[in-house]
This record gives sequence, structure tokens and C-alpha cells, in this order.
Amino acid sequence: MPTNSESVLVTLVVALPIESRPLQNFFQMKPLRGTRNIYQSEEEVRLLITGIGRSNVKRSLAMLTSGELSEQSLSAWLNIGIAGHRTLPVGETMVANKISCAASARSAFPTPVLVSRNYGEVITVDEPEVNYPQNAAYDMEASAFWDVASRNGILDLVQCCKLVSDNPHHGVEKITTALIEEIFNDALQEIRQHVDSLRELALEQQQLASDPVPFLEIADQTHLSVNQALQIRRLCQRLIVLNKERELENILDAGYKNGRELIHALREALQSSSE
Amino acid sequence: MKFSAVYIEREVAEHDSVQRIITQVGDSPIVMIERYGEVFNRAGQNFRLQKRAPALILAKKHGKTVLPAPEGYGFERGRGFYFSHMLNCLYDCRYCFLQGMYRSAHYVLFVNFEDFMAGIDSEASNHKENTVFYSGYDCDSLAMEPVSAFCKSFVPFFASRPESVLEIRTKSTQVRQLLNFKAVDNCVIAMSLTPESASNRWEHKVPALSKRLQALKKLQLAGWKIAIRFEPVIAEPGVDGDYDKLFKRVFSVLAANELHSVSLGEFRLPAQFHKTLVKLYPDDNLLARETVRQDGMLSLLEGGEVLLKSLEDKLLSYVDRSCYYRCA
Ligand code: SF4
Repeated sequence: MPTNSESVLVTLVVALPIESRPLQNFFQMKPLRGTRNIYQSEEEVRLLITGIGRSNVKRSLAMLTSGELSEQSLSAWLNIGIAGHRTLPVGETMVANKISCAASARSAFPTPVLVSRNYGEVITVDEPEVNYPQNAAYDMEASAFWDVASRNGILDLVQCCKLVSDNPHHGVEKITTALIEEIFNDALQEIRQHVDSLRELALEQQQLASDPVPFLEIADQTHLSVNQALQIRRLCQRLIVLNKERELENILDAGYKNGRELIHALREALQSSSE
Repeated sequence: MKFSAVYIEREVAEHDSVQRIITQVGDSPIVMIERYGEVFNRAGQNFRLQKRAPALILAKKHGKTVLPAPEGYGFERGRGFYFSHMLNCLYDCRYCFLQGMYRSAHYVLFVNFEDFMAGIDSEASNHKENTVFYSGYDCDSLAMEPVSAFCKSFVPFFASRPESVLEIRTKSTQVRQLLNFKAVDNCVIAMSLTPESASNRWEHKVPALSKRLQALKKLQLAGWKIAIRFEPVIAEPGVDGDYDKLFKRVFSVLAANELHSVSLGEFRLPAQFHKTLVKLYPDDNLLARETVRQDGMLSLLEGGEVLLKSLEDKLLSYVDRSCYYRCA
């Protein structure tokens, strides 16, 4: 079915500028005009740098999702960032299948749509965790990311991927900017796969939610009430699905200027299709 | 069997069934949860998207495990009840009401069969007349047998309760477990069938008609009671001819005079579920068709009494009227 939109955004959310640089280069992103912490590529990958910690994430995401930029197409969300882990080696990646907030003891469960070598729990803490009490990834942002992103779009398209930067054998004190860059560079291909998977899923949803082209033409030329617009949109969609595009074109050519008459004509065309 | 994840309610983590299932799910990631509602049917979830890679949720059913069946459901006389040990289905029929009922496509398997059994016993003892228990209302009862062990548990249970009937509704060919048992007289295997063209078009992932007929034949030869539900009838050009072929094929494989019952039923959906399905599949031909609404249910404009009567006449040339009913 022809649709008016073929694009979706995949928004990557990182805490640190140092985490963002490999992503900016890899996806060929440019700063978004008028912003200091948002980058975007021509292939509709957007990057938000939030700063460290839950409150920074909440503030940055709230600004992004409530401002002008929220008007853009459907978005999938991916939080990427370094994390400590009790058992995974430094450099390993892990997709979150559970995100817990240590402060509130609340947990959320991202839908398993991404393919990875490792899956596990991410526990968001307010201070770096150096004892790794559970077999989980410890970060400082994921739960806040989930809280805001999950209210903006399809829940199944909110995901989180952590890159292990420290563990009991390689403590937080050994994390350097060079190490972070190295870890990110090594994970770029996997991140690319996650972005592509999310884009594919989001695109399917976007296409299903998009207005059929004939409806857009009608809406452009005819004054319609909200209710009429909804009815005409679905009638156009149904005629297209039922291979009655020619009938639809004829109705468009007839140039109806009245919503009610147009609905009547579209209904008649549909009913003739079921005879 | 592999799932995108296996979620386990902490409360049932030590349950024997859970321990067994864990050994069967390969390297599917396992996630502990408190209540299945944490992952199932959350606001903002999308059934179509989740259907690409569903997860398995192992949970405990709380509250009432057995509910009264809708008026006119099924063939058997007596008090009807249904129970759902599982929510959602391995298959993906475009007309399935489950898509309208849940926002999640994950499979929820309630492992506390003992509570379902207690519920069944309690309803059976509360009623003097015969009781019929329908399984497969919110799932396909056989499709997940290797994981659920539903038949393995419930068939012997009903075998020792001859005053109650179990009807297992399915589109599956997973009959190995049933064939391991001696046929149980008060257990009916009810297979839903549509013409091959309709099945190919709308019943994604459902085993081929030929395979299902072979499975039924094996069961019938082994002495099991077989019922055929010719449902849902989807009206379209050529549908009469499609049913001619279907009936001919079915009754050339199965002994018509040994069937427990046969039924016909039109494609019908609660209007609210239809609306949800349209949102999920606006690009689907079946859901774009003209419908008529009666008592809150939508059916296809092209269908109706004339078509059903004509199919009924054809069907009754193969089976005795006494074993036929039309689905309410
Ligand atoms: S087999 Fe039955 S329960 Fe399963 S998808 Fe098809 S209609 Fe739904």
C-alpha cells in the first residue's frame, strides 16, 4: 500500500560525549541545528547525549520528547552505554532483558527483539558500583531512560544495550577515555545490527499507521471534520487493500468537495466490491 | 523448542513443570519475574510486533481456573465450562480473536495444573447433570504439547472421571502423546478445519490440511473420538466449491459414521476485537471486507444464512444430522 512516510527514527541515547564520538563517526552524524547535545545522520539515526545519572537522562529525554523534535516520525529507542558486570569480560556487549532501578526497586522488561551474544539484567545505581553484588550489568542511566522512552511510542521498540567497561578483575579506576572509545569501536557492528533491527520493526509499524496517499490528496482538497477524515482514511485504505484502486481514482477524479458525499461514494464503491 | 526469552514467575520457579521445561528450551534467555502482568499485555505493547518472536511465560493462574462456557458452545449436552491453561497460540490465524484480546503475543503457560484440576472437580461435583470441559479457548491445546504436557496430565485425569467430558480444540498435529494412551471415551479431539485455500491464506503456521487429516485418521483408528469443527466459514467467491472439495477430502480419510460430532460456524468477531485487529492489520484483505453487525458481533456481509444453509446441506449428505450442530 502506498504510504506517505517511509522513514522512522532510531534514537540512540548515551550519557557521555566520549561514548557518542564513535557513534557520530560511524553513522556520519551531524549536530542538529539549534541543539548542543543532539546529532542526526542522513539515515535517520539520532543521537542524544544526556549526561551522567538518572536526573540528567530524565531532563534530556523530556526535552527531546516534549519539544519540536517530538513531532518527527515514529522512533525506536536504544540506550547504549558502558556498564560494570560481575562476570562478563571488558568489551563484551549485553542486551538488557530486565532493567531495575536500585533506588526504587522497580523493574521493567524490554521485549526480546534484539539478537545478542549476551542478555541480562541492568541495574541502575546512583553511584558507581564497585562490588558487583549480582550477576548483572551496573549502570547509572538505563532505568531513567526506560521510564521516559517507554512513554513515547511502542514499548517493544525501547531497548537497552550495555558495553562492559569494568568487572571485579578490571575495576572502574581503570576506565579511560581511550578504553571507552575502544569498547565502542569494537561494538559498532553489533550496534549497527540493533539499529537495523529496530528500524525494520519501526518501519513496519510506521507504514501501517501511515495515511494512504489518496487520503492525503483528499484531505488536501476537501474540508473534513475529524470524524469524516477518520472514516475516509479507512475507506481509502480498504479500497486499496481490496484492489479497488481504480474505483478510488475515479472517485478522486470526480472532485467531491463535500465530506458526506465523498463518504457515500466510497462506501458504494466498497459495497460494489463485495458483490 | 526455542523462545526469544522464557520468563518465570518466582512463585512457580521450583514447580516440577518449570524445572522440566527449563531443560527443554535450549539456550533461550531465562528471566525471573514476580507476576506475568509485568511482561504480558502492558500498555504500548504491540501484538503484531511481538508475534515475530514470542517469549514463553511460565506463571501461576490465580483465582477462578474454570469458567462457564458461553451459551450454545459445543455439542455435548450438560453444563459447559472452559478452562485456559494457556494464553495465546503458536499459530497465527488472521481471524483469531486472541489478537484482539491481548496486546501481547507471548505465550503464557499456567503451570499449576493441579489448581485447574481442583476447579474441574469442584464444578463437576457442584452439578448433578453431566459436565463438559472445553480446553483450547484461549490457545491451541495440542500445539505446545511437548512443552506444556497438557494432554499428558489432563487425559489421564479425565479418564478417571467418566462422568465429565473433556473437549480439546486444536489445529495441531501433535498427537503423539494421545497415541501413547489408550483411547479415552470421555475425551473428544475437536479439529477446526477450513478449505485448503482459506487455510493457506489466513492460517499462518498451521500444519497443512493433509497432515492434520492424517493425524486425525491415526487418532480415529486408535479409537479416539474425533469432532470436526468446520470453522470459521469465510465467505468469498468460490467458497461453495472449496467446501465441496474439503468435505470430499475429509470424509474420504475419516469414517463419517464414527465421528463424535461435526459443526459449521461463520467467521464472527466481537466488534471491539475487530477494531483492534484492523489497527494491527490495516493491510489485511479479510479485515477490509464489508461486515454486518448484530448484537455486538461482526460477520462478513457476503456470508450469512444462505451460505451456511447451502454448506449445511452439503455436509449433511456425509454425516447424520444427529451428530451435527451449528455454532452459536
Ligand atoms: S489455531 Fe486457533 S487459537 Fe491458534 S491462532 Fe489459529 S484461531 Fe487462534
